[in-house]
Amino acid sequence: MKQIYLIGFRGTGLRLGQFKNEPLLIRVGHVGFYFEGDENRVFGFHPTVEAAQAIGDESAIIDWLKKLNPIPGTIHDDTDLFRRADELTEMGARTQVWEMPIEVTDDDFERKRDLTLLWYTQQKVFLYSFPSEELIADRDNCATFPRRLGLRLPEETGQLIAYVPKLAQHGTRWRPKEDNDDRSSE
Amino acid sequence: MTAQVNEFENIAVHLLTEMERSLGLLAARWRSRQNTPEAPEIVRRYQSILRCMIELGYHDSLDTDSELPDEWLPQEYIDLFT
Repeated sequence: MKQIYLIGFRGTGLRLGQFKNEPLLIRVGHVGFYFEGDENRVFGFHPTVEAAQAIGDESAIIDWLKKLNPIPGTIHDDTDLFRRADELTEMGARTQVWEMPIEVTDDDFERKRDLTLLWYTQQKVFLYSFPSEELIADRDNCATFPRRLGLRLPEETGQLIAYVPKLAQHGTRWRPKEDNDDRSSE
Repeated sequence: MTAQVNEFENIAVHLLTEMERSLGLLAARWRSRQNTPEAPEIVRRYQSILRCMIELGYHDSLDTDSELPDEWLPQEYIDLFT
């Protein structure tokens, strides 16, 4: 058996001046996933830069999403975002990063990893949208996207205020790999 | 007396957390029903809860996916950050 990890954090919110220069996903919050043995590459699903820019500036994008409009999205390597979220907790941000393991068979692990890498390298497009009352079959946000790989979600709606506490409840605090190495050598 | 104050503070924190979660649910409901006759009532409930949270001392930035579009957010919330 092997592990696939769901990992996520609540954003700082958009309105605090202290964090206004952080990347949008740090302020909105984010969920991703990584594969055992590849801990330093965290995949995340979010809108493509091109699709987002076609809508307008940040406030136009957020307004678009708040009204349940979809944006084309792809899988990205978002490792640096999760590192930054972890760093910001030192400044009092509520961006603690949590991870939750999901155990799968070796064969299933290989299938899910191969599929992820295929979608990542081909930049396969899926529709991104904010959570609605009920899941929409052809749309996901970052938190519900892992269902496309057949992964069991800790919370079905994908609302980060509900989803991230579930990650915490069923998982542990995530720290960047280098930090773990530092601690183990102390 | 201090124990009573602490208990009150604990209840207030718990209450605010639950109210914040309810805003997330209402925001998702509004997104699904924004073009139905139910939308104004969802907005009214959302605004009432958020105003009550602010009265209880809430002064944080909501999760983005828990916010309604700006035109439906109560002015008291916008004013927290201006």
